[in-house]
Amino acid sequence: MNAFEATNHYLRNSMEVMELEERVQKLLLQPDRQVTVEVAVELDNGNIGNYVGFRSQHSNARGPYKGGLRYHPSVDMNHANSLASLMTWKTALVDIPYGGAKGGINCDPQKLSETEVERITRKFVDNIHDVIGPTVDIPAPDVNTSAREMAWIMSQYSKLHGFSPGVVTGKPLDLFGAQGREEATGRGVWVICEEVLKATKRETGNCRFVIQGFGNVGSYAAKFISEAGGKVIAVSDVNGAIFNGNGLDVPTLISLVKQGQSVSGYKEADSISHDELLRLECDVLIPAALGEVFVKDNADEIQAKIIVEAANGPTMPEADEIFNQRDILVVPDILANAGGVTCSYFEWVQNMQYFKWDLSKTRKELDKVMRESSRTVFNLASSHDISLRTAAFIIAIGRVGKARVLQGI
Amino acid sequence: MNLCTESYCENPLFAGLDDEEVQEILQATRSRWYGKDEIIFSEGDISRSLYLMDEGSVDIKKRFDDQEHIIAKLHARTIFGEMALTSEDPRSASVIALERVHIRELSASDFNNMLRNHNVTAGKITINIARILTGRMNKLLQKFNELSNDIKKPGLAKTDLNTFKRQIFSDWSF
Repeated sequence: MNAFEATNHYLRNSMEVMELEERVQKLLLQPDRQVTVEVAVELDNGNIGNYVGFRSQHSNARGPYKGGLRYHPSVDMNHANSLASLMTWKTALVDIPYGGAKGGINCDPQKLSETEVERITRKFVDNIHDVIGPTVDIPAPDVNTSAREMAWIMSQYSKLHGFSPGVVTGKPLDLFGAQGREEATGRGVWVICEEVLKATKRETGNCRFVIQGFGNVGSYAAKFISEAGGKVIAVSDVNGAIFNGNGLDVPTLISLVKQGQSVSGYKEADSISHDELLRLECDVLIPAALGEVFVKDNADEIQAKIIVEAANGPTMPEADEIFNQRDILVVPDILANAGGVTCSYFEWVQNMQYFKWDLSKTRKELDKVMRESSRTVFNLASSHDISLRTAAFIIAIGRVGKARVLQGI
Repeated sequence: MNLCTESYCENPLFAGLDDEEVQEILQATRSRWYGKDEIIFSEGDISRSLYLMDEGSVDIKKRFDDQEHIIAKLHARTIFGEMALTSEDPRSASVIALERVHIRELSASDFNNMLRNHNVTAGKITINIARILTGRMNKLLQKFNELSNDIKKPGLAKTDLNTFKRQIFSDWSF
């Protein structure tokens, strides 16, 4: 089982807890539309490059389809279908007016030049433009795609349909992108930490945090946690992990990483192994890098009281069960890292209104969405005595289900 | 005369009757012969007899949707028309000979005379008729319940869609 199979396992599990019948489960799981397109372009050397592009549109019961586009050799329709369904639940959980979609192009961008990637992207848009659009399906960056690709998509789509900045999110700041998009996921993780600590009668100022991964998500989470008085005692990146029981100086760490260095270049801390980092005694452990971090073999040794899943799929089902037994509270990924898609929504709202928010407005609205979503999850979990993960999926399924039923399936 | 008691003994109408008692009933019957396509009785007739078919075969036909439909074929050693012994309603179906048929007819008046004379066999048969009717009524009730469950009454019928509505709007409300 891999990370996204684990997430599907949790989804199925929640449907069992709700006692949904087989036909209802099928109704909720089947994608609405699956599109495959041929993407043939001229390569820099004059040869023809043949690629295949996919878009799975899972559900638009609550609004336009929404989800990332990835450029990777592993992309296929099955993959897209599964991930599209997860987008449906994530957008429903944070209650933004979107459905779920996912797609991409089966290619290896490492072996392509920038102009080749641009031609592939534009050709892909030529072939799917009639099934996407600001009120239809709104792609976003994902694995190996970024603001650069989103700018090309917006440009190509606008050539065909007129000025349409709302056709994609995650655009460059100078091309209708949103202020605060970069920090949004990390900020969301921090808001969720605050809420879970409040719910368990703890205070950020008295808590120790361990963060695995110091990329976009981990570093911003660390920034907001330390600004709120929380003590970040250990962080890691691919090159190593560092620990200081008295707390690390996060601004110093961030400037170090911005200069292109590893966190292990930070002086006032002990160097530890990646495994040791996970086993540290702390209040909140934040996996913000990879999937499949917590498995059967290490779940017994985790000493954190709370785990906030900033990364997608860090906890495998056997580990999740052990955490439940050991009363370690796990805030699930679909809630903890939903700040990103929420800010995408804000970008789209600004695009649709031809209006621009400042950073403080984005932060205020983001905090509100994350707070309200987490409170709904905590309340349902405690009133029905179920895990936060199960509660989160049940809320998402309930919202999508209501939208379907009220429209007449 | 060979009265072929054995095969009739298995009929539920004669359940609990010994050989002698079956003989007693058979002796109270009148023998009749019908040719191919001859009508033994028609739907709507007020004939009141029970029939035991010794030889041959018949079609049971009933009119619905403005057409006559064959609803059963009966072969030798079967009993039909038993409802007439206790009911005065018209015949609910027609019976037509498919070939040369030998039938024994027990009229309701002869049967009633036996009952009036405290004939034990006739009493046993009456109880058997009651049992057969109770069984049929129970089957009918069961079918009725099944059908009424299928009728879609919004908010009442237990369909998967209604179950789902209850689950998301009340069981798991948030």
